[in-house]
Amino acid sequence: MAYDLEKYRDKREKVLGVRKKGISFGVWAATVSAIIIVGLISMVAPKSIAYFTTRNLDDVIYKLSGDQSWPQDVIHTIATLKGIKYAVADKDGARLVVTFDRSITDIDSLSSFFKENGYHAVLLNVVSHRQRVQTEREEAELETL
Amino acid sequence: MNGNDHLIEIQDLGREYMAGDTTVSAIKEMSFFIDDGEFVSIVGQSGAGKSTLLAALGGLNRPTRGNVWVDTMDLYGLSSEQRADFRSEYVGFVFQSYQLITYLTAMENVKIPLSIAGVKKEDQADMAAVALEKVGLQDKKNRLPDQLSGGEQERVAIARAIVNRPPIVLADEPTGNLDSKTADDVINLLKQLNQEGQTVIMVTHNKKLCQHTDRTVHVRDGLCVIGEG
Repeated sequence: MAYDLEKYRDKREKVLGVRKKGISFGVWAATVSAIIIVGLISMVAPKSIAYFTTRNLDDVIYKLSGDQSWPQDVIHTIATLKGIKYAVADKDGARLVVTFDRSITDIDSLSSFFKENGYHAVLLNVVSHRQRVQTEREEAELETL
Repeated sequence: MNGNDHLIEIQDLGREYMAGDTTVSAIKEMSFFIDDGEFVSIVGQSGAGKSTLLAALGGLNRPTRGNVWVDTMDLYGLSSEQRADFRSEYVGFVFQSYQLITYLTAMENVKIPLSIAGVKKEDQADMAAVALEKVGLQDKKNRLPDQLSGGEQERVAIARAIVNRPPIVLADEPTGNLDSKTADDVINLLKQLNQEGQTVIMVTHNKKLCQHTDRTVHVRDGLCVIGEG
C-alpha cells in the first residue's frame, strides 16, 4: 500500500516550520530590543550629529566703523571664502556674524580680507557657534513671554 | 528507497563511537523500512546495536553515515530545533528504566510532554487523564512513582509516551524489568496502541516477544541479518 503523505501533513508542517507556531521568545526579544535601540538612536543620534558637525565652528561678530550697514555683496563674498560656513547680517544690517571652521581658517584671515578690501571692520566678539545658537534660542524664548 | 514510500526508511545507516583510541562500530550498515501502523520488534543480543538504532530512529543519535527518513523528512538533515520538534510531535519514548521523575505524581509525569509541546494548561489535564485511562491507571494518577509497582510505573511511562498522540512509539526493552505476567500486560498494551493506529517499534533481547509483533528485524553485530524490509 502506498504511503499516505497527507496523514501527518499537520505534524510535518509544524516540524518543518511551514506552519507558524506563534511568535517565539527569540523573535519577541529581538523586536523589543530593536524598538529600544531605535528609540535610543533617534534620541541620541541628532545630538551626536549636531555635536560633530558644529564642534569646530566659531562665530565672530563685526561691525563697520561709523555704524554703516554691511553691503550685501561683501556678505556674499565672505560666505564664499574657504572655511566660512555662514555670513549673515544682523536685523538692522549693522552687525555681521561670520560662522567659520577654526580647523580651516581663523580670525586673522578675515581681518586680512577686510583690510585688503578697504573695510574698517571692528571685531565685537568671538564666541562658540553652539553657544551663540543657544543664546539666540533663549533670547527668542524670552521675547515670546 | 527515497524517503517517500514508507513512514520510516533507513538507508545505509552506520554509527561509530570512539572508545579511547578504538573505533567501535555500533551499526555497521543497515537498510530497511517500517510502514505506518506496523508493530515491529528489533531483536538482538546485548551490544548488537539495537538501542543505537532506536536512538537514531528517534532523532536522538546522529549516525556517522546514511539516512533516516521519517514521514519523508531526512531526520538528520533537519536543524537541531526542528529535530526537537520532530521528537515532540512524532515520537513517544518508552524506556526500560521508566525514567519517571520521582517527585512528580503519575499525572504530572504524563503532562510533561504536553508542556514541552506547548499544549494549553487547561487541555493538559484532560489529555493526561485520557492517556492514564488508556493504560488503566486513572485511579492512581496522584501517586508518586515509588508508590507504584514496576508494571504500573512502566504503564505511566507508556501513558507519557502516547499522551501527545505521536504516530510512533519507540520502546527500548519495555519489559526488561518486569515479571512475565506484567510483561504480558505491557505487550498487550503496546498491541492495543498499535491496533489503534500507532506504529510501535520495540527493541528487545527476548525473542519470545516477537510473536506478538507484525515483523521482526534481527540485529547482530551492527548488521540486520533477518527480516529487513
